[in-house]
Amino acid sequence: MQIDIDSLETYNRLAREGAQSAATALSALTGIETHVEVTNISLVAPSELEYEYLGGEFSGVRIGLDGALDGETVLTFDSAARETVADVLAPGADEGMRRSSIEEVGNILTSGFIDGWADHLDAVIDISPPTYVEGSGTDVLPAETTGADGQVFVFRSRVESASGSLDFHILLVPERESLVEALDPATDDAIPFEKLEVFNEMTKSGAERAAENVTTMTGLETDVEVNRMRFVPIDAVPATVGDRRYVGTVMEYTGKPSGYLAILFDRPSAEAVVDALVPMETDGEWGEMEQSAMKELGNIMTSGFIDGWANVLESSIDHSPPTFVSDMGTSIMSPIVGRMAQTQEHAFLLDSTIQTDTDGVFRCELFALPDGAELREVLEELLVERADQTRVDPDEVF
Amino acid sequence: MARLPGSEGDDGGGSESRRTGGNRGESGGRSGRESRGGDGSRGRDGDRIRGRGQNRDGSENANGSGKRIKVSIAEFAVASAGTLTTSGLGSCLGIAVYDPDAGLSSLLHPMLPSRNGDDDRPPARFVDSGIDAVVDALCEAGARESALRAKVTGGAAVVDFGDDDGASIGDRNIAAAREVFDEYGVDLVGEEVGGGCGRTMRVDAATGAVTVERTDGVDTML
Repeated sequence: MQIDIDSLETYNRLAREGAQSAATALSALTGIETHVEVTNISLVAPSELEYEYLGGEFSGVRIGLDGALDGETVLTFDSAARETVADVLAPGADEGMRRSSIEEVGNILTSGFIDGWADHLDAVIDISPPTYVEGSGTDVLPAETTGADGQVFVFRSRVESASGSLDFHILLVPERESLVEALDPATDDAIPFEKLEVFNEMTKSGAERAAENVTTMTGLETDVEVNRMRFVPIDAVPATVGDRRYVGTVMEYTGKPSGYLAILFDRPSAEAVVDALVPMETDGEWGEMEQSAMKELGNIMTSGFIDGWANVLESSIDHSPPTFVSDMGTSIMSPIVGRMAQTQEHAFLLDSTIQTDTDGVFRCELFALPDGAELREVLEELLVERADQTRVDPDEVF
Repeated sequence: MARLPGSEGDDGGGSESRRTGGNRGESGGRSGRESRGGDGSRGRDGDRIRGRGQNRDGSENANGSGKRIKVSIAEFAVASAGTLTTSGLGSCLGIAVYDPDAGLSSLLHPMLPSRNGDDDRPPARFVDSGIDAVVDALCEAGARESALRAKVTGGAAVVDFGDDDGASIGDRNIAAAREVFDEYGVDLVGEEVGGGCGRTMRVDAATGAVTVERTDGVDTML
């Protein structure tokens, strides 16, 4: 099962265009400007998909796809968008009518979204009648694909309005066989799906080591909650990380692959970590002592994370001293992406979330951006050596 | 095309599923969206033109009066009403070019200084080709090139990489913008650049008035 990276670029564009046609249709219906903020392809364990839908109430439609592409698509409005759509299409109506309006709009938008895929594949995709979904987490997830074994590719677009009143998500989760057939690798330098899966698992192990190091240093219990590999157009990397304010560190690593690692805490978590590290009372300002504590933590987390890669890849990866950062996620990522955009159009963004599993006290996100060509080289070299491997075990493959 | 049960276009046949696709000929408009280089991927409506980078769709048709128009990295937009806005400016620049007489403004969010003649790369990602695209779009929308003025923000060193080929990306972006506007003979009438903080920029489309909010809490009007 081979994945052609160039095909991923094509499919990412299809997903974006599909989301754009949905956004345009919704703007035409409501008169409110919408904008496709992010489109990316994630490789993720099905059990971790629910993190796409935590932290809010969503409503929308789920449809099944059959034919040239098997799988499911879910389109969900957040609660503000639900109100906006219902107010425009069913003003003053009862709850049943409002729900119907969501269903109808979701139906129209998903059709527009899928059209582009069918056009590209020059084939027919059958769409099931829409199922209305409402809630959070697993309530609104694609139903069947989340039960799949192994990791799944998820095509995800986030559409936003400037006022925040009309935001929605579209997820497309194709069945693996169907996607691979559609991707149809025509080139020799395709990468086995399993290799990407294994690399993703390796990253998760690295994040787990980083989390253990946090626990050792601070005494705070931690766990890796989400781990995914995302394939993102380079210009969209900052928006993928988002506008939230973060405190943390950025490192550059060199070796094979080279790249960047950003370890970003939300502010309360950063304060909790520094309180645990700095024995005296701090005044909440990020002075030299607090910054130094954060850098020390960044250093030891990076070592855990990068060592995981280097050991498995049997390569030497060094990292620079951490640089302290405190700003919007987008602003932090822009100089990193500026450097990478000089040589690549897309990036593999490896994203792990470490948090305490009891309450929301501690949350930290690791964003690794390996150099695209070098990552590909690493994976390709391993392919040559182990082309006959069919069963995949990280210890065996690498 | 998709057929939707219970909506316009349904054949009323009562089939349980819909069917989409198959005929590329029906979707001729799509191929046009993939145009690269120049500012070909641009659509317009009554009061607004949006230009974007590679692979991005510019064919918008919202019918609002452009209350708030969000511009992402490697994109630009032109408007005569409402507010153009971009956030998360780190080393990137936020560049407003406007014609106060015509009541037209643009906002460009480039990431790197120069496209270096590589026409395959999205113009709005770069300061030089981005400004070219923006000036073209403004003039096409009715602005006079000789009346154009510019304001620039961003170009910060949010992440201190130390020595970065002699100057940070932010510094090089700022230098490139000054140089390009000098070549155009466009007056750079406002700057709030450099430093180490991220910024959010808002441009009042009708007047070209700019507000810059820094993440250290300092706000500036340009």
